Amino acid sequence: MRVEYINPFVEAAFNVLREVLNVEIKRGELYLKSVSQPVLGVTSIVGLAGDVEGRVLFDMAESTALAIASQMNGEKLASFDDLAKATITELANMITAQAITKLHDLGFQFDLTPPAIFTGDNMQVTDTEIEALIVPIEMKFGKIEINVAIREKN
Amino acid sequence: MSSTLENARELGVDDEGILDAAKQQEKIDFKMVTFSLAGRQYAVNIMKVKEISKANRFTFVPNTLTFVEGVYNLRGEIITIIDLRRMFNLPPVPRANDRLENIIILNIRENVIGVIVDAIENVVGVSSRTIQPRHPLFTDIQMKYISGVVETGGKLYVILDVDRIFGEEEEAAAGALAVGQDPREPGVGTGTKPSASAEGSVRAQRTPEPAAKKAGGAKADDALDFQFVSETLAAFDSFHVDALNEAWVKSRLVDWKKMRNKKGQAVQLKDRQEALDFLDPFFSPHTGELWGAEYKKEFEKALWKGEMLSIKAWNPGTDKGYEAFSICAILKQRYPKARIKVWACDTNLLAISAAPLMVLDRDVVPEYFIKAGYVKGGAKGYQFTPEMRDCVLFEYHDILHGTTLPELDLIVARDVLSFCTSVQKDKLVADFTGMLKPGGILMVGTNERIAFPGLALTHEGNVVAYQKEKD
Repeated sequence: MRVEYINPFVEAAFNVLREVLNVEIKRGELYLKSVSQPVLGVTSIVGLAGDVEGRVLFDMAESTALAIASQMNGEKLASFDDLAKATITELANMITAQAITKLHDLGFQFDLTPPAIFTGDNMQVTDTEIEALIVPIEMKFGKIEINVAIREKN
Repeated sequence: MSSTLENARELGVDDEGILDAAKQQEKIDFKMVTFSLAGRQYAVNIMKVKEISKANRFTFVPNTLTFVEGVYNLRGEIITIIDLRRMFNLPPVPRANDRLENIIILNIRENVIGVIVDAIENVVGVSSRTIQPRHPLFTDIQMKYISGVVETGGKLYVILDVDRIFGEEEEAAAGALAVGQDPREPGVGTGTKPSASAEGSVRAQRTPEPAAKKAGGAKADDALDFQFVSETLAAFDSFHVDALNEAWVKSRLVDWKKMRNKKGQAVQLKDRQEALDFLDPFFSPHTGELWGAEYKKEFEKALWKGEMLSIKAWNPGTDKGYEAFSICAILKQRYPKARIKVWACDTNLLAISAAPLMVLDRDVVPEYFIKAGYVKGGAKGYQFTPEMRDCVLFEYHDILHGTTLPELDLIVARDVLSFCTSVQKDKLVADFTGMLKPGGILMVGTNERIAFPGLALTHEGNVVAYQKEKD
């Protein structure tokens, strides 16, 4: 993945999460991955188009997703219902949008698709011919793995 | 005993034969990585060691065996981490939160696991004849886990039988961990090392190095030294010796031996620093800096004659980006009419992130960069012009994951293949060849040579170039 894309995503994730959740956030070591990988339970996906093609996945356990949704709504949500789903989707949208804005300032043209959310056990995600950058983020609610796969249109 | 000697003499076995046998006893043919645990010295066979690492903050996995510390992400591969103290029921030591643990990463059959130990010492070579069988007195660890005991350098090492320890336990642990574990990546760094080294040793025996023309014994010694150096380089610096760089390693070993003997040190490489020292002359000229005028001339000689209209180049393993900018500048000057694009990538995130906006001191910029106006002076030093920067695209990318690029005219992969296993190398060379246009040029490191159908060696020297045959 082009190096200029890395920082905007890391920074945007960090800023947005710290702002909306108001908790301490730690970033793990970044790494690359190319094979199928398990999905933790709740995954929000935002597609990218424009100068590039690709997508961003936000992957977390259901308990983490529920805790985050509760914190963002300011009330304790009992189950992972529509409101919780909408909240996580919005979070994904906010982070991706901020990253895209930063990239736009650097002169890269990106468009994003409306986010979608997947829930369930034992899911895997596979990208063929495109490698993903993994940004692990840890906080007291659990872990979010941001999985960014972007490639240039040749 | 003396009568046996007499007998031997009578039978025509001369003194030299007996002396040789005595020498044989001291021959170093078993290498082990030593470490300490609760004040005792232990060792494991180096052939089982994939690498040595430091890490902390392992991801806890619930409902596993007590000695499973958790899982750890080793460059994208999830490995199980085992606390050897707990496994052997030794008293635990309190763990500081931010302290990095010493980890030996082992290849156990198909699996890779990390083992936490107190301290990793070094690599010791011993003669397998001096290894004593296990002794029932060593009761702090179950007898069946010990493969032997050896004394060297005044210290007694207990050699652990890792296959037996983890072969059984791993199955149990892996079963419990199955939820947290992701599918194994075939071929990427798992279990390929032993095969590479074994291959190296076979070759070493077939073609002993030139300096070893003294006696049969010396020849075998050299072959052994070569084998051990190859194994150590793979363990400490992921440098894999095979047909690609064998010639260099052999000639380097001759120099290295001379140097070490002069200093009165052992030939064996015993830690990472020594492995790095050994490899120091391996790297191609101008590694980690912009290419000088001499090298530029040689590079130009290896390029196409005549004019080009468009050049697409790829520079895997560019590190800090000096290589990519040098290639771009030389191509621009040599082929002024051509549209030039250089893709550069590396797995070192820190190095590659800084590449696009690198700032250079005046005295490290070769004259031809300044004359051609490829750099301009700023407050802090020289920077590449936007025109130059537009030509080079840096990516954080692992070439083992496969690469999608348009058809290329030039690939410059200096000293990249040596840090891959034999299996990965073969695949990469095939990939490189596939990605090149007919007539395209592939360059490898000064001390690397490849052989692949359809690639012909066109330039040798500091620059080593191969050209893909035209259809």
